Amino acid sequence: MKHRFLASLSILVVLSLMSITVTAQAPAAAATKAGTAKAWTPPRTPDGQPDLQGVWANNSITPLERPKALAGRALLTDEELSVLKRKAAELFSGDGDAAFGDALFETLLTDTQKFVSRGGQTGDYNQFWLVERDWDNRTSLVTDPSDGRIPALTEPAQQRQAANAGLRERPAAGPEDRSLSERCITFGVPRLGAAYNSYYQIVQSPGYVAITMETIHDARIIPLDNRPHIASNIRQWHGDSVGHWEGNTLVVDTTNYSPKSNFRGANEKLHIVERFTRVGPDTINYEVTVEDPTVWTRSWTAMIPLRRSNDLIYEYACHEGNDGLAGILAGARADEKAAEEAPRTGSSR
Amino acid sequence: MRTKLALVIAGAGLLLSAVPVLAHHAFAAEFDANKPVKLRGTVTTVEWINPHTWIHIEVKNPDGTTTEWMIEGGTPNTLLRRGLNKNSLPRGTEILVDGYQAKAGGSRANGRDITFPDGRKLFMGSSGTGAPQDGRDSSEK
Repeated sequence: MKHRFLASLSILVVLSLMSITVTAQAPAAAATKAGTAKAWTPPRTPDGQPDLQGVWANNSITPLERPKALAGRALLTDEELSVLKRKAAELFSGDGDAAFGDALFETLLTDTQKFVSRGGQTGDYNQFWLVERDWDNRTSLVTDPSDGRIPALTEPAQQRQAANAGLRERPAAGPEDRSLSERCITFGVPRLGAAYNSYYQIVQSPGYVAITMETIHDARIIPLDNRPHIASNIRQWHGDSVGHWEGNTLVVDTTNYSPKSNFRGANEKLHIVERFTRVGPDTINYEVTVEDPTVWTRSWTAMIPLRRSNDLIYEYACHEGNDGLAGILAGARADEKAAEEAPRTGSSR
Repeated sequence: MRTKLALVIAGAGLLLSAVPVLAHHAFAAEFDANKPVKLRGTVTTVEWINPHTWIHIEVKNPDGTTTEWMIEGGTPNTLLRRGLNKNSLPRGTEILVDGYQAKAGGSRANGRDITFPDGRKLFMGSSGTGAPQDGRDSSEK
């Protein structure tokens, strides 16, 4: 779970937050079932590519993994969805903790009167630091396996996870003990997390598609000329991406991740295939297939509906020496000092 | 279906404890649960930076001196999307802050709850719900 959090951090950034207000948005029919997407024909760029251009947001409230309470159910009924939306409006009327990741949706399924994040002792972001969420009636972003849950980890991956468990709880010795996103290095590619600056701008020109990720001001430049991947000894934070069109779907294949990258525990052997299909004027179905035989026992796929945004991409400028990280390290030193002093003075914190 | 969902909701109380409720872990690493603070001060500067906005306020101490506190918040990109901008918290605006002091001490805290003196929530435009467990009491879980 810590890895999931770490990965969520780097991909979704720590948190998805929000003051949930019920949006007027109807669930996009195209987003609900694979294979039932309307055959909408997108306009073309001057050089003939299907046009994906614009600013797109992932503010989806759908959890990555299907909650156990909803096992066997890929979709909620409209009535169930209304119940959840109402609950969300109450629970997140502006005073609750910001809820990140799957926790948000799962909390709505419980009896709780108020959302308190795991860091509830010291508070968290308040709801107002979050944007409105995008609702549809899917119960998970994961579409394969069909149970909506990420497949089991391999034995070595489980051992790694166990070994790393608790690391994050210990006082950080330096920036390297914190996540890549806290260090403002990257939120990772792909980034599955929603609602925390989860905005993307797609620009197309002959032979290339460029995707700007708001976090952290990264631009992925994806060539479309069927070139091979770079040599296997060259490793990059976001791997190496090459793309091509299959009908109206942009397919992007990424390998060559650095050993320092971290997508839910995967790096060097990670292989990602992304499929972008614009299914309507305001929706791109963004499908991500994840494969790393050293981490998961089989590949898995998630689909996120990206919605057109009227916003700009706002620069998310940050650097490793940011105040937040400095504060975290100062906190770690304070914790250590307190632990040292406690036995000597006989007092406890 | 309604019954089923009701059962899910009723029976899922146990679920919450099993769920890894993701939090902004950095807050727990940086701020001290044993050092709650309630501050009232006037805005001097707002740093619209990432990853955290910083609202600087001047707080009058009981002895008449003043202390400048830095209050940590979330990403300004979201505030921009909510329609706020650099003119939304002009210098001199009085705000109330409920939060926790940094572990490293000093005049730094996280802005868990920020309201105006009349009860309006910052950026929300309406007063608090006044409902039980509305987030005001940090001992309520």
